[in-house]
Amino acid sequence: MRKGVLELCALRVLGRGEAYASGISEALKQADLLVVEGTLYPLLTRMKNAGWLDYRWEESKSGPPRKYYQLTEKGRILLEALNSEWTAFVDAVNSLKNS
Amino acid sequence: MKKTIDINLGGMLFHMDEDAYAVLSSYLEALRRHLAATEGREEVLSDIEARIAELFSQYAAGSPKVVTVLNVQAAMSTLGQPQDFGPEAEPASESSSESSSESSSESKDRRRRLYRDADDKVIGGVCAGFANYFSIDVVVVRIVFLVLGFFTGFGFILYLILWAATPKAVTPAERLAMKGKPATFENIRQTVEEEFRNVESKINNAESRRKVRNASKSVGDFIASLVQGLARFFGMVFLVFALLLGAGILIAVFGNGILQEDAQVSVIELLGIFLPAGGFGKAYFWTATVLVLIGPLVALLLLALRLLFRQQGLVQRGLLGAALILSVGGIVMMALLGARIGSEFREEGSVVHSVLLPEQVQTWNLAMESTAVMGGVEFNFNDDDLDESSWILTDDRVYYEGIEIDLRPTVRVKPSLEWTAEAQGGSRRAARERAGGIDFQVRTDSTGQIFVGDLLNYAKADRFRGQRVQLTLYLPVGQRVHLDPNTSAYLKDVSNTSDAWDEDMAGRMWLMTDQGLAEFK
Repeated sequence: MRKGVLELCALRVLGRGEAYASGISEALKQADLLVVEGTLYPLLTRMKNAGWLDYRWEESKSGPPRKYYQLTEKGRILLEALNSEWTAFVDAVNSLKNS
Repeated sequence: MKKTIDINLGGMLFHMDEDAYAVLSSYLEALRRHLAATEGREEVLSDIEARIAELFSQYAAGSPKVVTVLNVQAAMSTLGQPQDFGPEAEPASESSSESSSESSSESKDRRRRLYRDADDKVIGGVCAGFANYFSIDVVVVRIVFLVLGFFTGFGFILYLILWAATPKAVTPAERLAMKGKPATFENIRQTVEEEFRNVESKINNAESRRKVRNASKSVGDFIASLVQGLARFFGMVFLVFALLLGAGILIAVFGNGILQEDAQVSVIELLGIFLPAGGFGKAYFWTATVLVLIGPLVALLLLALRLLFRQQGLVQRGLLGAALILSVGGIVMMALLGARIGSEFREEGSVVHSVLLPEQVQTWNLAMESTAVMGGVEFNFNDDDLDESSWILTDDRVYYEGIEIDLRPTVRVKPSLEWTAEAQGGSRRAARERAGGIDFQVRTDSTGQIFVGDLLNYAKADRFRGQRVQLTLYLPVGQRVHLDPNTSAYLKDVSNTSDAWDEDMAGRMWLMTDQGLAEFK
């Protein structure tokens, strides 16, 4: 479950626009969702290989070139599917809390 | 003094302390081992190296850049220990534990939902949805529906209702629920994947319905399954009711109605004689009936669906609302019809007929004579006197035993016999015209026999509008009359000196006095 949530979070960050690995991890860290960056790398690579993400290289002033990831059309569809599933799930859980 | 080592990390050159180099290379080696089972390991590793290079170049701002053990440790704490790279590293073990816990703790059907399967549809995907739900071949379901459709006609109606009531599986999560697969992220991903492979169609996500997923089951399993069992039982009961109701509507609309006493005439026909002529005819009545029944039918079906398949949603609520509105419409139509029929009973009209009686007769004999009816079907009703009254319907006429006989004294010298035809109508004139249409036979002969027909009759086109006949025999005081036993049911409040009941008067000889009849011995 945790893995899936992290995946959804990464997709959501990318849904706002293209980002590179550290940027994504920064956003996740700010939301207290990610403790260490490392978790993200295998995830991004796997999602890229699955065709959800695409990337391009960009030169960096402070280090090696960075991989900027963006959602593919397929990734967008997955994100929407996961989003609605997530909303339904949260609603279900919350409905238990409230009743 | 420390020895430094030059390394190339992510395409960048770094000078590293020897011990820093040792720590970094063992870290990278540990990662390499940990990620052994991960797809695209080399790419992941090079990404990580690039990130470390980036971090190093931030730490060691000066030039030449020298990386210390502290720098390496800082980078490591940013990136995390190998085990922090998470379950990602052990995809196999995780998925197997997930699937085994599912199959043991929850039966497949539990999470299954009834949806229409648009991927495998001929018309609306209803059959495919059922096939998914019950894990049977869709061909079997289609054959069942076709058979129901052709032999009873009900399959078609059922199909249409289910079509409207069952949501289409739109989102990947719904598609999974339809096939009884858990809606895990992994499965959703697979479904989206398949979708891409199969069709290049775009999904309409905007309309994605929210489904309150059944929360994962907790401990009270026994009670839960008991409740579920009961729900299913009632679901079946409601479904059967709904089917019967639906079948009833169909029989009412298309069938010959319900046969009475093996007769070949339907209740519809009987009703047709009661309904007003013109716009408020049978078609109107059946339309209203069907409309009235649609609400309960749809409500029962939805309740059954909900109990059996745990379906609920906006679509169903809309459908139920529409059905209830139709029902209200049907009730209004019925009310209008009732008012119209009532209005046709508002006025009363009558026509009086006189019958010639032979001269020189002192003693009369009054008897009923059975009326010859060619063909026709008999119906029996209980009227308000708890007497059974019979109606016979032929192709174009209605025969009815609504005849009342009275005997009264007259001050005139000669006896007289008259019968009054009565009927109801929307106006006096209409009532009188209808009364004039009543045909009734009374026959006499020179010996004083009076034969009264036991049935009056009128045209079906006149409808049932309270047609009846009052027959009165006026006798001068001193004349006698014998009432045949068969008149018993027709005598109505005949006044007599001994206050005998009408039934007790038949079969006896009576003498007319100015107080009414007196028994003659």
